Amino acid sequence: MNKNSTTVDLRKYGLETGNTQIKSVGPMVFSPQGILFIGDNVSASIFAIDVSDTESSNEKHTIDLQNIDVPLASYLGCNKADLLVRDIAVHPTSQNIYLAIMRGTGDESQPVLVKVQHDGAISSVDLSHIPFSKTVLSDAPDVNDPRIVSRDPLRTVTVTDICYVDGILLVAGASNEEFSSTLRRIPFPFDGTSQRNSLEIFHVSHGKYETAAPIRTFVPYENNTSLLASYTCTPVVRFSLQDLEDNTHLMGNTVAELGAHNRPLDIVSYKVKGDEFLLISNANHPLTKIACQNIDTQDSLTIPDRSLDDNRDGPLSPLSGVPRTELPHPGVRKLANINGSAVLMYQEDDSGMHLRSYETSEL
Amino acid sequence: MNVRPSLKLSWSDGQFGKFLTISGWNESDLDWLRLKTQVEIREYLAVFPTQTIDGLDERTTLQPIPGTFHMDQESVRFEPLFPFLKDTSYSLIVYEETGDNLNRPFESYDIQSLPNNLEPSCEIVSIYPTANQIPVNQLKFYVHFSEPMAEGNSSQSITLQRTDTGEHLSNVFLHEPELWDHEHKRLTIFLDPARIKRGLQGNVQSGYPLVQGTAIVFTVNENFLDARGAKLKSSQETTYKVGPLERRLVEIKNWQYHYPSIDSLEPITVEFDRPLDHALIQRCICIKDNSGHEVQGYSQAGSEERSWQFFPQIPWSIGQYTIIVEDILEDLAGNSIKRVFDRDLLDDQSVHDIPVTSHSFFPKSQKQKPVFPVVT
Repeated sequence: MNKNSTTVDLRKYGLETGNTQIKSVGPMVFSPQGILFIGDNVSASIFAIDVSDTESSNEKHTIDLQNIDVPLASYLGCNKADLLVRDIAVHPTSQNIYLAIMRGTGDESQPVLVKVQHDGAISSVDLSHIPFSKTVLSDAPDVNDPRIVSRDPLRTVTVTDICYVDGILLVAGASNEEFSSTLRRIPFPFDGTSQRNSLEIFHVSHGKYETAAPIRTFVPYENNTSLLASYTCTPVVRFSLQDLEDNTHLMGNTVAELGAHNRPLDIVSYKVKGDEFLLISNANHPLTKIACQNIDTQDSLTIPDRSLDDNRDGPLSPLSGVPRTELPHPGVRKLANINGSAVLMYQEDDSGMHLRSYETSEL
Repeated sequence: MNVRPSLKLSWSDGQFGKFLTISGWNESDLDWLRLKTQVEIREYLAVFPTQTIDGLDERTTLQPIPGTFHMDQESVRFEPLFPFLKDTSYSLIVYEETGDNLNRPFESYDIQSLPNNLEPSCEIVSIYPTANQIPVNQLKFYVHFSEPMAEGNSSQSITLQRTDTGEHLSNVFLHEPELWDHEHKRLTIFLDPARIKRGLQGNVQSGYPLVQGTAIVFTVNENFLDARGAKLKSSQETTYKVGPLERRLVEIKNWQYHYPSIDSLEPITVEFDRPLDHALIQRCICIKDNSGHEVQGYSQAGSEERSWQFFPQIPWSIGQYTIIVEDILEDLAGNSIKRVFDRDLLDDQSVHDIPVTSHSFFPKSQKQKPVFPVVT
């Protein structure tokens, strides 16, 4: 490790030092410049934070932090059950790990951003005094709304995932009222235009039924030209990012289903010798690996894909959607790319929570 | 510093969470500690959640709770960076001055934090839909609570049970992420859309979660915790008959309209052709006057969410008014004015390219004596 003299230019990104007053921490992602974006579903906002992590490291570190919940609980002064890890992210230059954690429950619940170094040293990021900016996502009622009672501020949008592509923050959200899929494109630095460019997107099953659904998790790939999204109802859908820019109603190409009684949890992309791959973690199915080159050649699914449930041990049917491999890593909840060389996995099992890195060549 | 078995731990009066007071010191110990920096004090004193150091017999490598040790007149006060939590045991470790760093003898002192056994005060205000029959492809439920609630209880505390077989239906809800309003008093809970959408694996393999012709009980049990950590005053059940599939567009031409009189504060009443989504009824319908301004007033959904009433704040004038409906207004199965929930692309009737979303009316002359339906 060494100190890098380059720091984030606060004025360039419209950041000001102060108290974020962040109410909760959720999905998060780093920009290549080291700005951390965090979704706060309680205040319906996205925060952009300069974590002032000026270390740089080109070394390869193997991360094997077994039962990280014990030192986290110790540091945060709580029992292990009072920790809820909402997301993980890896700083692009220091390669330090950041964890979005909700500590405690109910009235005692407190959002915490924790930094974990490769040797396991834990520290917290002071969110009450830090350079930040934020944009409000809410469709909160207009204060000038003339109706008296009829529009109680009950509608919210829960951010399910975010990613950053070339100056644009893509934010997937789920409404607590209408069942729709909206993807916001928010320019960064924030200029308050997030409300105007939400996009309805749809997917088709069997080439016959078109439905909308909230996107659960998504990732850009192929040099940010494409987006692979997984829905709460488990179809895996490919979009062209060019189409995202040009349309207000967009149909995605369903390339796979992740299986019944399952929920996708996270997606990450990585490269091995120039070939790009995606890993998808699931609530009830194994970690799934997909080669990106197969996605573009995959036709839309036109018949039901039963391979994951009826024929789990047999070969994949050519009709089952994009070829995929099940990896043996158990209990993977969250994924993050470490500088292109490794994938960080946040895993849970009966013994607790673990942070482990895996060389991309071994996956 | 030698271990002091006389040490006592206590929570500072009226400020639970903020400070832990360590008393019972010898004057010489306090004088010795007063000469130390915070970094030096942390070599001798460390506070942990008891759970993380249970069974410890040598100096732990765990990082203790970060914080500041304040030297008071007769005691030491520890101020943690993160407030102490209720229902949690904490331990103070006091290391002896001698010995190498890893093998220094130590003594631990435990204290239990305040209990969280609060009296239940929160009640379930309402559960929607209120219709006694729901379609087999029912999409969601709303639970309204009287107090702000904690997150993370939905999957353990909400159940669906068939009345004929007694079977508790598993894997039918989408519990994550939990969808709350800003106040955390209304929970939206979707039935797993993969089970409802035609053609997806969940639907193909397991079918609809509900079975037409049966009855189900939707239960929110009392273990659902409010934001203070207290249980509900009581659980609540709602029984529904499961009716046929609903796969039609919502069309406002099929609604019945009952108009108010000029110069009156009478409500306008709109009767739907089927129950609609409670939250969206409240949000998606409004009235504009003939200059395009939204009319101020109060609206409510009627019984079984089969109607909507609007009470103006000032009397109706002569002239045209228009009921404006957002095209996202859904019925119980997620079909909207714009499209059927799982739209069949081969069926032109399952989508409105230019949906009708407005209906104009003139308030009636007072000479007429219209009869208005009573909607409660």
